[in-house]
Amino acid sequence: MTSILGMTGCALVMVFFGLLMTQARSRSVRVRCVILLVMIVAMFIPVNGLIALGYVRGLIGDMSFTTWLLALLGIHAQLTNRERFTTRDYCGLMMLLIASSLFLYPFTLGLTIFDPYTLGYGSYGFDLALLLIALLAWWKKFNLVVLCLMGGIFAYHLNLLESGNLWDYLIDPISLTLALGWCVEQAFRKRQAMASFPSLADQTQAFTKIEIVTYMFVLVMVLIGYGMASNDEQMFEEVYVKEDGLIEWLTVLGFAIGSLVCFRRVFTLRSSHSMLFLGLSMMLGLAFLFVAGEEISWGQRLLNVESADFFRDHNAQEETNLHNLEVGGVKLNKLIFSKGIAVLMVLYFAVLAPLYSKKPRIAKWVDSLGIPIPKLHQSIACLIMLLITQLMVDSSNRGELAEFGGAFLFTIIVAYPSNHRAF
Amino acid sequence: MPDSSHNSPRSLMHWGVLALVLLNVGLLALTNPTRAISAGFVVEPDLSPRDPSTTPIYESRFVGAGVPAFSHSASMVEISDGRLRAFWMGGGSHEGKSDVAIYTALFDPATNAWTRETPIIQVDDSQRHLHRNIHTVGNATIHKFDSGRLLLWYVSVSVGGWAGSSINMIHSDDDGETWSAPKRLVTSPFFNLSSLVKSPPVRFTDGTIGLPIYHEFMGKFCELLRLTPDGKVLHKQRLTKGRRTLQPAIIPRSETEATAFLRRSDKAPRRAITVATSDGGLSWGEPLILDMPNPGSPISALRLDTGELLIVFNNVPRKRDKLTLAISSDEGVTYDIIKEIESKGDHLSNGFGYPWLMQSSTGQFHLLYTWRRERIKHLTFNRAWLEQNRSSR
Repeated sequence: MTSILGMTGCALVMVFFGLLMTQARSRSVRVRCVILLVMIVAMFIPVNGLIALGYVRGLIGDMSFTTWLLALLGIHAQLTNRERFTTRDYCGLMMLLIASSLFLYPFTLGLTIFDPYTLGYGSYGFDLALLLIALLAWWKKFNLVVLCLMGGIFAYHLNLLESGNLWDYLIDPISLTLALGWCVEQAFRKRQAMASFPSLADQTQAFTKIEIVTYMFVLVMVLIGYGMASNDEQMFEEVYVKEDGLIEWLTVLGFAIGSLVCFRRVFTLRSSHSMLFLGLSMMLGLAFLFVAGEEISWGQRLLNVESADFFRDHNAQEETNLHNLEVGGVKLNKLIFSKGIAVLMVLYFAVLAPLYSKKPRIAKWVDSLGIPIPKLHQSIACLIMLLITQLMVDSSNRGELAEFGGAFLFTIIVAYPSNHRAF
Repeated sequence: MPDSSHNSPRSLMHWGVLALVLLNVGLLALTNPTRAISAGFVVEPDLSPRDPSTTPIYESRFVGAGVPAFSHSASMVEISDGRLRAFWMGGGSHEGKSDVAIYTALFDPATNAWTRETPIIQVDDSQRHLHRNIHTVGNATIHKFDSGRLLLWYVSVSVGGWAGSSINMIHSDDDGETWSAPKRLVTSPFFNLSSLVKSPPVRFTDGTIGLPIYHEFMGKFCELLRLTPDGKVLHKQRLTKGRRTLQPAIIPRSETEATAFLRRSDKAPRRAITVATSDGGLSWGEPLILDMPNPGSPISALRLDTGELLIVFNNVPRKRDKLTLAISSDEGVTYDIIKEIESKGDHLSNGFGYPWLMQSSTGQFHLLYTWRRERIKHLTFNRAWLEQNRSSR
């Protein structure tokens, strides 16, 4: 006997997404019922000896109790236009879902020996953590969290899914998708609320044609790279991303455009902004230029020649050390450089940008310095690009693709910042 | 609409919910103890000293009658009457297609002949039993219990290539004539994607099984799955991380020690990798890159009574043009080649690979391997031949 909870979970998700995509909530009661019926019938259409639901199950697997419940609540909301739980209840659950997904999923891809998934096979520590979360949720009256935890653990006791791992009863990638979708929906609702202040809402997060074209361009080039790396790694490395190849020159172009934007800004705003502002914009332009040059290695070669000559002159006898040092020196520089960049990125996107929109004093300071703040969709584009290049592209040269993406996306941020009124 | 119910005084139901929480999680702790308890490996004894024949035997033949046009990834087990039963994936044209099935055939040592192969797992059957769409099947790995029950693990794919694989398990109590419905093993929270099998399982002293598995989606790494005889997953331990290794073959050395030979999966170095454990598989050390070449293909090994390892591998850094039998006394760090089993491959034919080395109860050695992706080749040799060939080199 196969898993009833698993199959019904898939069915509920299928029906919910069907109702969601047809915007059933905004239609008349009769139309809503029709859509529901159509979805239910569609599930049972046989294709090659298997009902359509079986194909959905093959694609998404068995659903956890949380997804089962969220899909059920979603269907109820779509059909009756009423929520059974408050926004606060949902918020608590979604935050918990996102946090636990961040804990679980990255490690499953093999980054470390430690795998939190194994905790679900049996661990007192895990049980204790669940107890504490459940008690906290109960005490603070996050009823939906308590319900999901209790339902999931209860289903685990009864072995209602094919899995013997407690994690699979509590979360799955679809519940994470629902949580992220809910967050996006909440953000849109807030934006609509702010629509009564059009000068604020419209311009800080707007899409321009050039931004959309750039996103498409970067996405296509990255996906071509991904496809190439998956099928013919040699071609990817020796043609696409090679030294002085297509991707490398495009990266140079991206950074060059970025530096031009900065220099033009310095020129046009020279009489209306402070020296500090102009100076920093100039420095940003020079930084872009430097990185563009670095791509074609003139900076690197400069450093190499210098260190080789220097050490050769000063350390003629210890050849082994010299070799190690030189190689070590270049490698060490690169390591510090890349780690430093990573920290700066996190600070920029995840700390400065949110602080800008929350604290007016910081916003004023950032504007006076001329630091461009990314729009939400620009940050998301950067994240997606990073995820695709770092996680999906199967080649040691995936960094070249990320540099290309970064070149154009950073130029976009500088050219069309969220705080454009400061420029 | 504003809701301030979270500020109202607690009702009886709320206290009832608290009791439920404590009961539910309490039950969890009682029935779900920490599973990561080592039980100690069972070191499979080398039976070749009990083989009375002093005449060297070295014979080879093809498995089955060549019914499927494409054959790959074989495993084999000795059944109750001394015959050998082999399992492999075969099909019309290519791996990864929906006409691929898991085939089986029988070998009778008395007549030195194989029966004609029959399919036991087909895509349609799997689809019906697992209630989800199945695109292809592959990689059958067999194990026999002392009770005579046969356990077969195989891989099925619903979406995508081998990176989208999941492991299923079937069992037979009549030496492989009839089989149970498949049971899915859930080994990953990410859509249960990308777990595969290749090498034979190890046994633990408490009766549980350690199935070596590997992942191919994004990360490429190896794990040891701890199972009960009826397929309940107890624990999972990573052998490696990152993207470098696949298809672990684990050979215990003592109750606490074992070596795993790993196929390398990145571009360089093109050499085999081993990891070792000294606590019964609970933790594994740093990967060691051997001198042994590896063109991205799995290795099979057996331990002799002398403690040495008999290893079958592709002794070339690229392609699978050579298949070699070697012996090592230091877990693969150094090795002596006993015989080049196959040495005339060409890049078009995909060479020779996926070895499965085992012993029958008579002490004879049996090796199955993929021959040019068209057939499975079966090689038989004995201890006498081994001693003769290792001393002559």
